[in-house]
Parts: sequence; structure tokens; C-alpha cells
Amino acid sequence: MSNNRLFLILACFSFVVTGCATTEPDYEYTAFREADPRSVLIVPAVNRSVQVDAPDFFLATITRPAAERGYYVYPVHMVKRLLEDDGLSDADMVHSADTVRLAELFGADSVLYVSIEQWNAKYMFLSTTVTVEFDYLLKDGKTGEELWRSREARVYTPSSSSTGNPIADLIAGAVTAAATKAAPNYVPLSTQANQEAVTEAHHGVPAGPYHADYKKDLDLF
Amino acid sequence: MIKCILLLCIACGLITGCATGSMYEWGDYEKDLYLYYKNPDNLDEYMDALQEIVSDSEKADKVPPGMYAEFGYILYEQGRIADAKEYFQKEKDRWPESSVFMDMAIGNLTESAPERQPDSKSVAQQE
Repeated sequence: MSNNRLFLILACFSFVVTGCATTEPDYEYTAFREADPRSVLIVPAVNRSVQVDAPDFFLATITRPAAERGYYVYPVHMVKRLLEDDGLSDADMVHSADTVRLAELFGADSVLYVSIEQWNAKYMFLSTTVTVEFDYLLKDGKTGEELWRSREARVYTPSSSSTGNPIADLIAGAVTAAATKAAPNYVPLSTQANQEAVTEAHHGVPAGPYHADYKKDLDLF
Repeated sequence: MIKCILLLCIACGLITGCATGSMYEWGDYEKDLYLYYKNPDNLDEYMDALQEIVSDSEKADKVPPGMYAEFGYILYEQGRIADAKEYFQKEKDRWPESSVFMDMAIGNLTESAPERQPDSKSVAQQE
């Protein structure tokens, strides 16, 4: 079965958020507002989870939320490849490199570092629960100082809408669980996690210069 | 049942960007890039996918930031240097924030041909 067809089948089993734990206080945005970054350099994510391809999911799904939030986002794949060519062949090395020099190289106002702290799928007979935790750290490209930080665990379960027939639902649920275990489609889940982290009031990122709410959301960020 | 459908619609909106206020057109960008990471041999497929995203989003004047450059970079990896330069220039023209990076990319293009050939060598150099 071709990858595309497999992917299409898996796409039917989309993930829906059931809840997220926000235990952190509101973020303090003074430094962010002062720096007023227009552009964000997003570098490959460090992986501290058991999901081996979590960094691929992350990198493929972070650009859209950040760009739609109103920032210029450098092309993540091109950036990743150029960093590799420069000898920064893994994410830990990139994260250890000097932020200011990195930002200067690309002409970026800010650099976003993400580490994937958790990515656990629990397979139960009728459903799969996935817990993801991304630690986001945005640093000023000119000073290396922190502009924004967010770290939240989010829990997702695949949706399986009820048909009204309990036996059919049972089978559908088992099929979903089996399919997600076989080759989980984490692209929508990862997109949603990034989207929520970036847009959540008092925890996400203020609207950027290309967004209609730019500098109009001072009550939320 | 209704709640489930509602949640699905919201999720769909978030995921596909069909929610109101989407500034750019993305096509299947996330899926395309992820599949390329899973199958680094399929450079042609990824290039075609990016071509489609660029063409479609250009028609609506909703090309996302970085998209011209991503496409330009893949063209470069395919040895299509003149085309790569065209798209790096488009990125620079459209997004002033990209000018330092695009100037560097264009400058490097004129210095040398790609170090790696598509397929065999690039796969060997992937993890």
C-alpha cells in the first residue's frame, strides 16, 4: 500500500483534544513587547520522548501556526539542512550554539527552541490516548534573552463518532485503536498542539506584525 | 453525538486551516513534509508537492512565509540552479525579513553547484 493511501486512511482517524492541563501562571510579556520581533527562526527540536520521529512531526507542523500568528517564519527544512551542512548535525548541537550568532546568520529577530519532553501513546482496547508535551523557548536574536516560554502537557484521544449501534461502535473503536497503533497519524495532533500553545490567551504568543490583532491584544498577552 | 461532530469540526478547522481568518494557503504542506522526512528518497514527490502549493497559493496571493524558499531549496538540490535563484529572489521580494538569508542563499548558488546529487548520495548522508 502506498504511503499516500495509507496516510489517507489514517487521516480518517483524527485526534480531538479532550483536555489540557494548564498549571502555569500567566506569562509576563514585557520583554516580548519591548523586543517586538517580526521574524522567528525555528530550529530542529530536541527529542526527550520515546517517539523516535516526534521531531519530524514537530518540524512539519510548527510553521503554519507560527506564520498564521503573524510572524515571518524561516523555511524550516532549508534551515535544518543548512545547519547540518554547517556541522550542527543534531538538534542538541543547534540548541547549544550561540543564539545571537545563529540569529545573525539568518537575519532573524528571534529564535524558537523546542524540546519534546513527552510523547506517550497509551493503547487501550477501544481507544488510544496520546499525551504530548512540548517545551517552547523563544529567545531574542540580538541579546539571547528569553522572550517567551511555554510548557504544557496536552492529552488527545482519537474521535470515533457514535453510530447509535453499540456493537458497531465497539468495532469502530477497536479498529481505530488498532490503526493508530499500527501507524499513528500524528500530523493533525502535532499541528493542534502547536496551534494551541501559540494562541492560548495569557500563555501563547502575542499577534505578530502580519496579523490583524497586532498590538491590539494587550489584554490577552 | 452532536458534541463529537462539533469537536471534529473545530479540530478540522484548526488542522486544515479552513477556519476563518487563514492568511495563507498551505495545501497539504504538513503531510507532504512529514512524508518526505519518512522517505528521503522521494525528493521528486516533495518537489512536486511544493510546486503545487506555490502555484495554488500564488493564484490567491496567499503564499506562506518561507514557501518560495523551501521550493527554491529543493530545486537547488535537484540541480536546477537558475530556478532556485528565481524562487529565492521571490522570497526576498515578498518578505523583507528574509533578505539577509536569501542574499546568502543566492550568493552561495553562484559559487558552487550542489554538493550532493539527488537520491543515492543524499540518502547516504541522511540518518
